[in-house]
Amino acid sequence: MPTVLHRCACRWLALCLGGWLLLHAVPARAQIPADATGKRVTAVVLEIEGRVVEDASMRALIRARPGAPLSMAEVREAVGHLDSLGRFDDIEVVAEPDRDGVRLRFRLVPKHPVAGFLLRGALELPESLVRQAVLERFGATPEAPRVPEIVDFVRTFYRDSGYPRATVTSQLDLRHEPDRATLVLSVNAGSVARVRTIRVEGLDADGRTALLDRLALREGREHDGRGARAALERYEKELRSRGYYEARADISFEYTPSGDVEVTIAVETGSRISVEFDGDPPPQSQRQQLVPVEREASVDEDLLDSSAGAIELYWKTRGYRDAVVTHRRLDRAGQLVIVFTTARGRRAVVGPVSVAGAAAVPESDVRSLVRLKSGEPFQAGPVEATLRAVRGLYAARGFASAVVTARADPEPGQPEGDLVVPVHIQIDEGPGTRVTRVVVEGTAVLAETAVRALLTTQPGKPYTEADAAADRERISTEYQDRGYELVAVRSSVKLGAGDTEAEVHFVVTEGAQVFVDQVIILGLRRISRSTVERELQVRTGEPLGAAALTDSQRHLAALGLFRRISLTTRAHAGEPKRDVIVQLDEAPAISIDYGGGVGAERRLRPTAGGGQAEERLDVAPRGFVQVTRRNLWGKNRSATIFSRISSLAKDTVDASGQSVTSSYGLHQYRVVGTFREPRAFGTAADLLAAATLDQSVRTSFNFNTRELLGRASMRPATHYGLTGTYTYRKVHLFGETFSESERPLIDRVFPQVALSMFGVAMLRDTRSDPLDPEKGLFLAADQTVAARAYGSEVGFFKTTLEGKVFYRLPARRRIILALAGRLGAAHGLERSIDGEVVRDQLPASERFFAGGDTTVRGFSLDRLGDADTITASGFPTGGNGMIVLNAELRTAMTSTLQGVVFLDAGDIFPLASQMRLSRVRPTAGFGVRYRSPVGPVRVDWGFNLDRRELLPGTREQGNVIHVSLGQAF
Amino acid sequence: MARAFGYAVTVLLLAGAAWAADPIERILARVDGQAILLSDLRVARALGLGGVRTDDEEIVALRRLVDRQLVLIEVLRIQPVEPDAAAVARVAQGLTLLAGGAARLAGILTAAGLPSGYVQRLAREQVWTEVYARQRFGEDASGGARASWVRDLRRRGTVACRLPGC
Repeated sequence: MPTVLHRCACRWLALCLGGWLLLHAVPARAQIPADATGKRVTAVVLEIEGRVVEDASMRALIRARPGAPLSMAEVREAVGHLDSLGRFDDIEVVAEPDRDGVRLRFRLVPKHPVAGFLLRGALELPESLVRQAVLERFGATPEAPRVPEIVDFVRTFYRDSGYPRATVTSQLDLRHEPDRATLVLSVNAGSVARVRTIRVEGLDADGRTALLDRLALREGREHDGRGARAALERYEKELRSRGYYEARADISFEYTPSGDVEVTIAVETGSRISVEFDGDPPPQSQRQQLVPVEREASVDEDLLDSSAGAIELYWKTRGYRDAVVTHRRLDRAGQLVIVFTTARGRRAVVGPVSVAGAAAVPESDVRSLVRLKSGEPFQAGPVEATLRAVRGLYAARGFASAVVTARADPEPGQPEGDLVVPVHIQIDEGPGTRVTRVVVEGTAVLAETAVRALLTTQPGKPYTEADAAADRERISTEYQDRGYELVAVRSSVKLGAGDTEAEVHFVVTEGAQVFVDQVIILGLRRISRSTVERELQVRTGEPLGAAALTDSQRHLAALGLFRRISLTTRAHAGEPKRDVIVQLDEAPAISIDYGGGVGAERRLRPTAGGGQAEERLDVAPRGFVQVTRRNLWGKNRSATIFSRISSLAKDTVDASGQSVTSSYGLHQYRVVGTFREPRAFGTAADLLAAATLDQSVRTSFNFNTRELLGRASMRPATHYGLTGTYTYRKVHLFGETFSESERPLIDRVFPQVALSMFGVAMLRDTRSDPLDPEKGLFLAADQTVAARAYGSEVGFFKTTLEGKVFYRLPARRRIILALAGRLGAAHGLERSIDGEVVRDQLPASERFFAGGDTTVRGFSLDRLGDADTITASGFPTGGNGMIVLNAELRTAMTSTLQGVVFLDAGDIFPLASQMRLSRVRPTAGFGVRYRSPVGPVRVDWGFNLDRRELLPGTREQGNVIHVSLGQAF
Repeated sequence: MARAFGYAVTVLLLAGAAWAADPIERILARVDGQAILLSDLRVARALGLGGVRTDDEEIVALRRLVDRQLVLIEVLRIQPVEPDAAAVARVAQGLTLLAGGAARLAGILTAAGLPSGYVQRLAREQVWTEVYARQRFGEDASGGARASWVRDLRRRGTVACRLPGC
């Protein structure tokens, strides 16, 4: 017996001990887990739906590390960072005892957005009908928290459709990888309700019967609430269209415990209403809009008063400034008639406009703001607008207390006809207010001098509230860009000496500076993190500036790698720190572009019988396709294949020169493969490598080209560009039209020539707009050297200098003076052949040509030259020297049309040493530019002022018309 | 005896597992996208934030915290000016006393993973909320009109809770 007692006692003791331990070991939620805090973390485990995951980017968001003491601050921060990813519905952190420390386990439950929904059960109604109703109300992918709302909606839908006892339940079926959910709605429609009773108010027996027939409502029939409601709406609309503008029809349903429905319909037809006009009625086309009785279904006094006001306004805006409109109600045989009576009076027109009192501000400045024109219908609106504009002008010039009034009294005794109303604007300028002192207070972070440099409000200048407001905004922006997001800037002004002096105070409350804690980048699949980090202007530990966020977004967009970029911030509790969350949506890695069109140009074509070349219009179809692959190897590298083809006539002259054969085909094509790497090798230079296959048709020869190109370009400073290039090019000329006797006179024409060239180009561009500049300067210098030492078959130096300047003339109309100059000089290198020094001749493809829509417009394409550079048959050969000078005056005629007059001059010289300014040949002309949706379309008509007879018996063409896009230079 | 010892060991293990299974931090609710954590609830109980009492059931305490957050979001939406420093200091002192003194408050905040300056933020929020309520509801700043307004905030806001009915 003692043994049994002993056993029972031990069990009971163990259970009590365990129970006591349980009660005290399970921490109540009110208790802070002091036992765990401070213990050594032995491991950090990430779990998603029970699976342990190793994700470096998520680990980086958790500062708690094995070996360090457990800190609740780090745990809380990690939960916040993981929540910022936007991927998880629930995040839970558990501290499990592990040896002499704790194992931290992050249990993550990913979001399962609802991707669609299913309907199951005894639907009774067509599934498509229910589905459509849910889709229209909640969309195709409703959020999970809206599920209860969806259930309520479906239940109400069923009730209104005759199933008041329908039950609807919901369930979310979860899927993984990717994490999605399907909403399953289980419906049990139950039995259909029947109409038990129908009560109709407001109609007699016949009316009731007719209405119920229309609504298809009968006692004992199946109930269709939605159908009945829609039918009643149509009934109400029809009543209103028959003149019962105030008709109202409502229907309500009451469901009984047995599942039947009691229907109540209330109809108020109101009186039949008509609207009439007498006196000076408005046009028929305006009446519905001015008197919207039918549209508003109302004839209450407020609506009628506002309609009368609308009719008055209609006449007043047409010059009938004394128009008066009244309305009255008449009962005509049971019908309500609303009559609008208009007395519009005489039409008034604006007479002479005079301005008096302007002294400190020139009267011409005031008149430029007058919105009235003599002879136009007189309206009060433009007079008020003029007064507001003039008051604003005076306020901007420091006359804050200026009084501006207008008098518009017609002279009495005017004869019949329009009443002429002279308008007199009277100005009382008052004292001008000038700033005498500016005080800045509260700045600790920024030096006062730095804040003062931001201000437009300065001692000696006129005081204006607009300037003070702009100054406040500028100071705030300066602080916000430094991370002071709560900065407050206030200003006040003390006026003195009869309001002529102003002392302006700016008070700054800086607030706390906010810093960047963590930069979290989301959405990367192929692109490397370093590519993105390089463009971000926000860094951990630095102040969080508004400009830095905007610039980061701009730099990322400039990469061209993302479809969508979003930068948001997440605050830390109690600390001036923010996490910056960069959400990116990568653009497709591969893009394909294609297009086609038709090109038209005037080209020199050889004629049969050895005659002169003549210009003919060539029309040829063109097409292109381009395939680009971006973010190669996860970095901002791209490779592109581009190809363009064009069908053009190719002319082949036989050996005798007597016959010409023309064939149409794809004689012009271009295929280019490129590889780009921005900021190559960690430098500021962008690298480009390209390979090209090209065949082109020119006026005096054809050629095809095989080319390899390597280029490094950079912007060493704002407005400056620097480019270094290496090119290997092999050119094959064919279809030359030079006669044998002319060959020795021109540069030697190589059947094949390989060129290996190094080039350097520098530019400075301060133009306000590269397409249509108003001001600025463009300077460019290009130097190319080809040498046999590195693989070129021909050696030469070639230099091109270009300068353009644009200046807007001081006139009200936009008039731009544009000047440009181009100089080109090339020189063949010498070499020794059998002891004889020979100078290399530039291949035709490298020589200078001029004439055409972008050089000297009095000549057609490439036709500028003289007997030294144009063959006897009229084909240009190009030269080693070029001078082109342009001067143009561009005047805006309308917002989209611009007229120009121009002077162009230039020449091509066989040798650079023969270049002379005195030899340039002048042309002049005029043209128009139209700002079309695709860019400025240009038509220029150039006249040759120095027509010569280069060929016996044939003078040069006197004028040429050019049609193209963009400005000439 | 050995069996009893086994019972005790088993119970101990279970107790240890039970202790480990309870989270030390988790998301309890989201109000317009802003998370309310378990540590926030602990601090609310200790400092009486939003009317939360130490003996409130978890669902009740969380409901009060959600209401507090909805009100704060609405107040901050109008971008109020920096509150009076003296008023903030008074409220901060009151919270410190409620916590049982500065040392105990520091312990509460540390155990919740919050910085020492957090009480200042709580005080600012409380002053903002009180000023807004006085301006909007006048004498009835804590009465029926305010309760109705909070219910309207719940209807308009987006609230997702771990505990049903919060």
